[in-house]
Amino acid sequence: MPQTKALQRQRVRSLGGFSMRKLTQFLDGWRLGASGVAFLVAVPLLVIFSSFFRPTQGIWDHLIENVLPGLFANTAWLVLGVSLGTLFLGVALGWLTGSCDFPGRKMFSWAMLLPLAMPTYVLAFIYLGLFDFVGPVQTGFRALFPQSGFRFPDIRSTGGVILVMTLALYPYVYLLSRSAFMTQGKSSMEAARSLGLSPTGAFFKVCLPMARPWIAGGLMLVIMDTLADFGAVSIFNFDTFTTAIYKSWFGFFSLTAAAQLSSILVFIVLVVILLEQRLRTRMRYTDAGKSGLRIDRFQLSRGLGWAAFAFSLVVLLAGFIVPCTQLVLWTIEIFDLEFGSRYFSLVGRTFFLASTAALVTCFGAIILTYTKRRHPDPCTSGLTRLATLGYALPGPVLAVGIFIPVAKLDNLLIGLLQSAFGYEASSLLQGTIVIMFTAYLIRFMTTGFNPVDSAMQRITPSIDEASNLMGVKGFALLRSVHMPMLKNGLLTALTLVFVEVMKEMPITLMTRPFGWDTLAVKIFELSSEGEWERSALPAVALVLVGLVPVIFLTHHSEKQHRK
Amino acid sequence: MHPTLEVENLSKGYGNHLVIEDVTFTLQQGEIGCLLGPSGCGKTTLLRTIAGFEDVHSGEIWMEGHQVASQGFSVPPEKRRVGMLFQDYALFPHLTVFQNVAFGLRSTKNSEKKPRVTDLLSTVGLNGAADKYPHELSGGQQQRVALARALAPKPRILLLDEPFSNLDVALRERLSMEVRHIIQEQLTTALMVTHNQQEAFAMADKIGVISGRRIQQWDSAHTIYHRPANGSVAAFVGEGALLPGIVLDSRRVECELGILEGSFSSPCPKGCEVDILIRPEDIIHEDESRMKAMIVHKTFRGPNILYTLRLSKGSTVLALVPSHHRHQIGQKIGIRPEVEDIVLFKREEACEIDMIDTIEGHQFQLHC
Repeated sequence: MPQTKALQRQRVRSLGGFSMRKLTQFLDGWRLGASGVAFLVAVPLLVIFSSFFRPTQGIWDHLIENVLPGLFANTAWLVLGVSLGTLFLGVALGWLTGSCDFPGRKMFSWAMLLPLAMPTYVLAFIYLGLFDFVGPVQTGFRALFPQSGFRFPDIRSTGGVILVMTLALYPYVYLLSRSAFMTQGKSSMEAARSLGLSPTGAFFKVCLPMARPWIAGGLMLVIMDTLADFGAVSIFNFDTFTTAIYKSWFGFFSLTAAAQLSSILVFIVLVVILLEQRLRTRMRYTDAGKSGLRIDRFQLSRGLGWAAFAFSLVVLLAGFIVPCTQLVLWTIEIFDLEFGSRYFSLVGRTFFLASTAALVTCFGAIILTYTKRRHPDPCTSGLTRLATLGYALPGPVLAVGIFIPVAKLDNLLIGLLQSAFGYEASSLLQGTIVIMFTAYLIRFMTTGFNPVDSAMQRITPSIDEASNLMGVKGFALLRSVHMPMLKNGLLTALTLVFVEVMKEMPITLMTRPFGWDTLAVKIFELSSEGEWERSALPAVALVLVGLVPVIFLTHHSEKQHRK
Repeated sequence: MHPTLEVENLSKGYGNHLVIEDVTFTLQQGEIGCLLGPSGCGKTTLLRTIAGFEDVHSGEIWMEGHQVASQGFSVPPEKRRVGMLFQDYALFPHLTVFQNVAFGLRSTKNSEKKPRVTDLLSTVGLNGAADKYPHELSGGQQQRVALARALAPKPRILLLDEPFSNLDVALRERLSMEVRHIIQEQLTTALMVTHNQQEAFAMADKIGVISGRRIQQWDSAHTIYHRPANGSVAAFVGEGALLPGIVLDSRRVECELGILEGSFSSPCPKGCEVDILIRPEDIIHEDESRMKAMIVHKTFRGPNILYTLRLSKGSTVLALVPSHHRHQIGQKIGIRPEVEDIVLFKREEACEIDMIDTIEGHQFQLHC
């Protein structure tokens, strides 16, 4: 058996061989690319982590004494309140539209997703404007009841933030719980009834517990977004970790304090992510959706049906219709004043940033998915997982985590240039849009990766083999087989990243070069000064763009349930 | 004592379209019944109607002397004390094996619950799996959990919906024997539906062959195979061919195979035109026989070869021949009919059959 001998020899050589050679064997072009992306993600993570383990004494003491107790309390209240709120709205609406029948169910089942189109900071400033002393709610109330003397509770309060965030984020819980309720096989319900449970009992004993992993999965997304939120809380002047990071950097110019606060926030987020991934595996096992039987919806009685209608309508009004109407009214009010060439240049810059970032990110996503496909080994999959971990870093944290190493690299390069060429420079990378694109790439890699990866998984190895047998390989295979099959996934990825970058605010705010304002940053600046009307015009553009992924989602979930 | 299950003139449909029509049968305590029929013949609907998930259109269902369903009246499923083994098992994914089995025992005291579940789990051979979750089990194990869960509350009757269709063939045979054993051990009455006659033969005391919305025959497996009530039963159960013939007297009938003599399945007057059911095992291969038939098709079956033979006047019959007799297609071989119990149907009855079932790969030749 000469062949096996040769194989054995090869194996012996590779075992005892030079380690550099193994490294170059491992690092072919694909893996090199993937390692590059993973490296980009790893650097800010490491920078943030290391600042947790290397606390600077004075700052740490100050933080523990004066800042952290309040931050922890605020964060805890916010997370608790938003969790309870989104659970209630999300599960109730998910169950009503997923398992029951009531007037308007079909319309509500997609309309309840609409609040997803609103960035939290947009909803936040609209609510501040609505409930302002001179806002429409209070003026209207005073006009109706001039003598009542009723004092509205201040919307700028813990309750107010919780309300706004709940309205903006409940669709996550809604989407997942609804899909769980809809895919539950009819036979689970029937099995429970044949074992002696009434329909109501079967719901609470079987349907709800079976949907639990999905509901909890949606809740984890809500908690992650709540922890990462910067815009809404800062507009409400509600101090959380993200606003504290921003203030210590841009207010007190202490990057070290910002980094240490970031490290604590990252730890909290990572715990949430671990929980979420455990739930995800449970979700896979508790897949009840294989039976193709159409679900029997509960026919709600007339009264209950209209109550369900009213409930859904109130949520939709509060989360989307009323804020949108207010936005449009404000826009009409100030349109002539604000709309002009300055607005166009703002939109143009935002489009440029978003589309370039989308292209860069999708390019990275293609590299990652191809590497994963070519090398299905645990090492490479670890690499891809690291490279797609960036979504876990809240915007302000990422900004800090990138700025610190870039500043160091800059100093190093400047020193080198000076000693080698005598070239004097104050900064090379700092204050360029390269930093922004790197940050976007890290933060939105997951957004771009998931659609491309799921498209790639549809190209099974046997498709390649079939093409090879017919003589199609190499670039021809890529062009005539892979690209057409990846096209839709790529388009989805491009669109989603584009929209996310347009709506992104803290990274842009903290890393942009001078003059590189985007729509989101403009909204933040104007609404920080209480100029609700002037914030409305850029916000309208964002909400319109934000509708695109909502349409994607609706389309996708409909397709899923039609199967 | 009342029978465990009585179904009387039951009809069930959706809208104006009847799925099952005028079905009547009875199951005694401890019997295992089986509804056998091709896919889509309404047998699962019948089972779900008995379970209480569907309302009856007309007719009545009685359990142990109590009426549970009639037109416009239905005892809800949770009050009927029926156990059901679902085709996809419908185990609760969020509960352990133990909790799944104990699910129907909510009103039982905790002290009695544990021994009952442990007992059942050891009956189905899954003692060690009590703390596992359904996804950690194989298909066969999941099914046994589903069986234990359905049996736990001691139902009046256990309903099984195509219980083995999701399993591979080897497991299917072994499990069907085991399940029969377990059901008998628990002294339970059971009713299953299947399209697989081997399963029906292995499990059931009584088989109901469903075709054309009705139960064509409700009898033991032996009777159904050897004395099918009509052509459609004969066509669905087992293999064979129908040969036209003319009755000569009370024990003799003439057909292409010559004059056959034996006892008739149903009395026919002299001169009556009939179709005679010829099973493959009724045709014996003998080289020296003067009667010859040409091989038009052959199927190798391991110990036997199933030959499709064309007789001199053009009719075909099937013959099961030990597989060391190897012949080529087109060759003529000697045959001898050996029919003791003659199954015959009057002409017009037999001609109603218009289906050849090939789901299980068995063949049936029809001549009208």
